[in-house]
Amino acid sequence: MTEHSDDAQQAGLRTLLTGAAEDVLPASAPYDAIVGDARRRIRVRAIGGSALSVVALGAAVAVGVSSFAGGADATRAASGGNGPGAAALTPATSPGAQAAKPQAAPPTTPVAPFAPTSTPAEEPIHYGKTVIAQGVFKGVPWTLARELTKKDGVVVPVPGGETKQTMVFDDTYFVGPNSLRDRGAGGGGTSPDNISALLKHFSYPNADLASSTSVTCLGVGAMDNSWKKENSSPYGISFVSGIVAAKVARVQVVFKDGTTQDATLVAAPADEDGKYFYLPFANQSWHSPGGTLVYYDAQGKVLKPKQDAFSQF
Amino acid sequence: MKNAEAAEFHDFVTARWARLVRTAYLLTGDRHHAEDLTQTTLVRVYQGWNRVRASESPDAYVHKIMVRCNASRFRKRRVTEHLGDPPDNGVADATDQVAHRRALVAALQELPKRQRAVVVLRFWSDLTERETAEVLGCSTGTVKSQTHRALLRLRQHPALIAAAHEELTMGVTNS
Repeated sequence: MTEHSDDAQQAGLRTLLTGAAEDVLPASAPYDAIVGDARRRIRVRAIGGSALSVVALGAAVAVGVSSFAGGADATRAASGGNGPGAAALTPATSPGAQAAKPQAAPPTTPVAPFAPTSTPAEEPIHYGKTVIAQGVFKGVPWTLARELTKKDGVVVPVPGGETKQTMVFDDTYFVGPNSLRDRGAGGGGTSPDNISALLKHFSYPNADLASSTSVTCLGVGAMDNSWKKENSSPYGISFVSGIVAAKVARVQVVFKDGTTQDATLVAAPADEDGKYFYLPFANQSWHSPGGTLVYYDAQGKVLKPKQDAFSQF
Repeated sequence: MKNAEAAEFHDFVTARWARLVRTAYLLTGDRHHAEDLTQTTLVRVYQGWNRVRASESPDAYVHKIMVRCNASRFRKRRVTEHLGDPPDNGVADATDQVAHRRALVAALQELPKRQRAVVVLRFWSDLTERETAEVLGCSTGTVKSQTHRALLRLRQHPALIAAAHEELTMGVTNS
């Protein structure tokens, strides 16, 4: 290939790379998340460092004990040795050992027990992303995806106070044409050993019925300073979405203006017993229009019929 | 971190975020991984902010962190990806060009990690050979040879052949 075509190829490569990179329209930087994560790591590292110091100190003391107990030979060798017969001497009777005694000052108990109590928190485990549903609404393609993450040290409000637990978080989000995560609902904490128990969210009133219900404005995450532009909606599309128990056969969305629409139900990924639901609707505002969700079982009976128990959105 | 440093870091993140996500996208070939990688990179940058701001080229330093984070991404976490390709950009675009760009991103992912990093750093981030060598922790000779090998592999790719043809055609037309 000629030098000219090489140059052309490199120029072509630059053009293509630039185009490919600019196909991505990033959202605003998640500054708080970055700083929060960094601070947490710094704290964990500090705790880990302290634990390491304690262990190192313990190891040093252990070495001291060891040299006190059996290091007489080395001491003797360093001082010129006392001939073959010296090896048969016990530490207690060895002059070398007696000389080393003031340096050792061994404790009567090992130091190791400090270590387990200051074990740093584990890194979050990502179970991966799963596409729940995809579609096109008013000509705009969208994807509903979810991501499961197991995190340590999550503060959970419980009766009588708070406790820290290891939990799995269900992070459901919509991906619009800008390919950005437009958060559907965070949370959905559950036991790490039972991912299918996503419905048992501690903060939802209908824990046995629905969880993580929310309204998401598609594409709002793609806007610079989107939090300031409360009256705009990039695509004029919002979604009501959430998770419901397997016993729910129908989810009806009742908007504040009295109109109703049924949401689409999708089975949760394998080995999970819930269902995801979603309903796209036209919405020019960043704000949710408000309304209620009504859940029905397979026989058409309304579940949790008390009006105030329905999830507001 | 003091208030002034925090403000500097905030400005840095705000100014660089979009560009870094795009660089990460070319390195990972996945838009969601790109955001994750960028966030992980900036967490590390925050942790070593004093070193970054004192370095001769903060951007090169950040690139170095990103390349390392990308290399260790799959070692540390057994990430299972089920996410399909994101939908097309809603903005109308020439179909061929979109296809070429996607094909190139796919072809990049077939390159060994270091060759891919060299291509991204040299032809997208516009780093010099010396800067690229610094980021990758190798010699400029290695950068040259890795670039040569990467281009040899990419040059066979239909997308790049078409793009080069367009560049040549444009050159002829302009002259």
